[in-house]
Amino acid sequence: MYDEEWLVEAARHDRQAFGQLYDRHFDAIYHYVARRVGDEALAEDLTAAVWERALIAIERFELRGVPFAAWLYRIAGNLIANHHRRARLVSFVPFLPNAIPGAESGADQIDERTAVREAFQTLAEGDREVLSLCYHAGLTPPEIADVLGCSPAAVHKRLHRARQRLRQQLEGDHRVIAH
Amino acid sequence: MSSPTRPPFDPNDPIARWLDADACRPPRPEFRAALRERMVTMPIPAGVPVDAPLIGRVMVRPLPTLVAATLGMAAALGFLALRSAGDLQPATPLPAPAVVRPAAPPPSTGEERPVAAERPAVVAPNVVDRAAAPVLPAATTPRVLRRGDAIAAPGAAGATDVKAIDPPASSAPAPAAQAAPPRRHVKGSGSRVPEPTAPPAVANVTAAPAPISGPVLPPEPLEPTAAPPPAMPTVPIVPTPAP
Repeated sequence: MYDEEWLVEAARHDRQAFGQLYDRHFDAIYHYVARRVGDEALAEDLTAAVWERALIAIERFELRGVPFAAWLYRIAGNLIANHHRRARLVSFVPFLPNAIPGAESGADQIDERTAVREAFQTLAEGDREVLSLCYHAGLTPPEIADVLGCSPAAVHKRLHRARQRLRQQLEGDHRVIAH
Repeated sequence: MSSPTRPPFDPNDPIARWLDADACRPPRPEFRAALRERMVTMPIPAGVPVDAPLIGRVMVRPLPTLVAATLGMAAALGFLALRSAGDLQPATPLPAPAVVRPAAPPPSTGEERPVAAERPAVVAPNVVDRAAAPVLPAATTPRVLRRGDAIAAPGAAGATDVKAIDPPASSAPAPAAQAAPPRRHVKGSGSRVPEPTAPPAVANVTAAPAPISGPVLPPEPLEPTAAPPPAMPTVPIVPTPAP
C-alpha cells in the first residue's frame, strides 16, 4: 500500500512511475471494461481512454484512503456509462468461447454460457455493475464500496439482490440448473 | 486493492461459476505495449485541466492566465478612458457657424404661392400672422378668379382675397360647391372619380393690408455680399496737340 502511494506521488511528475502503475492495473481494467462492453475493439478504445484520463487527472488525485485501482475503476465505470448512454447499447457479450483458456468445448458448456449471458443482460445496470466488479474484476465489497462511493453494507445488500435476480432469471429459463 | 486473479468469492458459488465461465481473452500484447509507450512518452500536462463547453478539455496555467487577464483588462480600461476623454474634448475645434441673414424680400408681384401661408410669422418681416388676423366680413367673400382674369395689385381698389385659381368655368361658385371637391370624369369608367384629396390651390393674394398683430421686425440692413470692385485707375487724358 505504501509502495503504491509512493508510486502515485511519483507519477504526478514522472512518467516512468506512471508506467509502473500501468503495468500493475492494466489487465484488471481491461478485463473489467471488456466484460462490460462485450467488444474487443471497443474495450481497447475505452481502456485507452481510461488511462489517458487517469494520466491527465492524476495531478488532482488525492489519496484519501481510496486505492488507486478504485479510482481507475470509477473512471472506467463513468466512461462505460457514457458509452452506453450515447450508443444506447447495453450488452454483455463475452468473447469467443474458444479463446477462453481451459474452457470446455462441450455443447452443454456453451449453452450454459449463453443462458448466463442472456440472463445477465436482463439485469439492471446497477446489478450488472456490482456483479461485474465482484465476479469479474475480483474486488472485495469494501473495494467495490470505494468504487461506487457507498458503504460496504450497501454493497453487500446490492450484491445479494443482484445474485437473487440473476438466479431467478437463470432458474426461470430452466436452461441452467442451479447447483 | 486485490488482484483480479484472486477469486474474492466462494468457488462453490454457482453464480461465481456461471460468471467465471464468461472469461474473456487477455488483451493483445501489441496494444498493451503501444498504449504504455504512449502513456510514458506523453508530456506532462502543465496547468489545470478545464472542460470547456465547445472546445473540449484545455489546460489552463494559473499564473500566465492571471497575468494575461490583468493586462487585457487594463488595456480595455485604458482604451475606454481614452475614448471617453476624446468624446469630451475634440481634437480640432469646430469652425464658427456662419451667420446667415435673410435676403431682402423680392418685390411683390401680387401673387404668392400657397406655401407662403405655412411659413411662421417671425421668419420674414412681411408675413402676416393669419391666426391672429381678424376675420373678414361676409361682404368680402373671396372671389373666384378665372383664367385670364387680371389680378389687382395688393392695396389697389377692388382687390379682394382670391381663394381658388382654377374653378369650374360654369358659373359662380356656391359655398357648397367650394366645399365639395371637384369631380373628374374618367373615360370609360362610367363614374366620376373624385379628385385627389389635396387641397385646391390657393392664391394667397392679399388685397387689403391686414393689420399685423405679431411683432414686425424691421428689415435688417443688408451686408455687402462682396467687396465693391476696385476703382479703375483714372488715367488723365492729355489732349494731343494738333499738328
